[in-house]
Amino acid sequence: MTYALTQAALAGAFAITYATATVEPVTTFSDMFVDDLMADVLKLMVYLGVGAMLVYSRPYLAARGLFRGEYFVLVLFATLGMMVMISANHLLTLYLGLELLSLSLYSMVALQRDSATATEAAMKYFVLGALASGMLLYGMSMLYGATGTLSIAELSALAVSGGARDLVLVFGLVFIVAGLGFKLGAAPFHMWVPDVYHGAPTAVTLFIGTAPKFAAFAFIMRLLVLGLGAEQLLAEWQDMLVLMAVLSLAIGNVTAIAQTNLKRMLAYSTIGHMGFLLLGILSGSAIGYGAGMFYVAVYVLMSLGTFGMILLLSRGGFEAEYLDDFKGLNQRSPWYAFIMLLLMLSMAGIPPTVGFYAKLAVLQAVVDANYLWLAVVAVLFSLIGAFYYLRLIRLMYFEAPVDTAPIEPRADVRVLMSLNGLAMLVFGIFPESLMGLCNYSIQASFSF
Amino acid sequence: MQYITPLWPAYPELFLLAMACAILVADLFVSDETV
Repeated sequence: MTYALTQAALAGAFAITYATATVEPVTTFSDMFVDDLMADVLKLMVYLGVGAMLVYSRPYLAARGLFRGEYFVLVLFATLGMMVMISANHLLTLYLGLELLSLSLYSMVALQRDSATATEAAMKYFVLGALASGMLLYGMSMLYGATGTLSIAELSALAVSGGARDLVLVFGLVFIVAGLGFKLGAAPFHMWVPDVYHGAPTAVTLFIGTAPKFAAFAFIMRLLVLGLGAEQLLAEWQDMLVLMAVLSLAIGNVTAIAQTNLKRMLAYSTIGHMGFLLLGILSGSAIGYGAGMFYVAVYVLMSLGTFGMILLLSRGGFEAEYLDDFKGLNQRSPWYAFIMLLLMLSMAGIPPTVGFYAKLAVLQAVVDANYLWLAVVAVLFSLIGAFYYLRLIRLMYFEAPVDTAPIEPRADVRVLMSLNGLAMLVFGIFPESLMGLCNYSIQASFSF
Repeated sequence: MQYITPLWPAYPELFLLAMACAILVADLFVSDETV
């Protein structure tokens, strides 16, 4: 019953968000909360992502005794945290949303109390997450010290007019970017990502790896682009993001090659993908931000499918988390092997899947911003990254199966997984709709 | 109503919060088998 109520809550929130969506930004709660088109689109994507995550997770959770009311309540509180972050127009609202999301996620990772790895992962996540929150708060306090305000709109106005103490502002910016890097899982602040992805129950890993990325994107847009996007500050954080993007692309893609555990491999792949997201943001243009939003949407879709496939192949007492567990998948189920093929091609950025267009859009924005060398570096590391995705395809199609258990998912999982995989192809052939929506929502929400 | 209407941009958040609380209460009366 709580599962059905949770899905109903998400459906209701979807309907209300759709009904109250506005092109013109509207504020409430003393201007601490803003509802604009970017927020509406991101929230709609969050509901879809969380709803799909719940469908994929259901059999997995039931087989492990985790299909309980508290799981769904934590999911809803985490979703609420994301929504608050997405609509935040004030540093306190932003922090409130972030902590609501983070605390729910820490609890969810630790939900499997009998598992030593899950408890260890939760502990690491909590300690490093708390460190990141501390950095963010310290940075925010410096911004307050430099400008005398916590409102993002006022912060932006003061930064543009030069009415802020620049040195303190830049120091605050450094702490904020570091905190953001931690939360995003971008190198060199990525050390928690593989351990948490690996140690958490796969259903929770699926959750951590998908919808919160929308909130992280909104966080960057609100705080860095809107609040600290003045020309003299843009140059400061652009340099920091360049460094983080290159390191993320390098560490993520190179280290993923050495992994035999699929969850760890996907964790490193996430770090690489976050590098690509940062490339879109650091280009500093509306097109770049639109490309970044498109990239996040595509990444979440790909992650949903890939982790969903791990859940689909897992069963009570067995986790299909090693690369060997995917050996001979084509012989066991040609359809799911094809779906996984589409997901892997998209992750690698190979046409005609949507992953190619996501990377292309980001690279175009980077080249337009005169960072040609950065685009070359990104392409090189994408090529390296393609190796470990293609290796999984080889295992599925050219190796004999190790696990021969029949694959019999529930009807809803079957339909959703098929739609998820085919979406890679459909959005790849017709990327304009999603890309147009992202670009339009960014342009309508920010006065570029 | 006069206090609620100005909050319309945050209706989705308010609804989700109310539902999360409702599920917390409902969970008290539901056995683990029928979750």
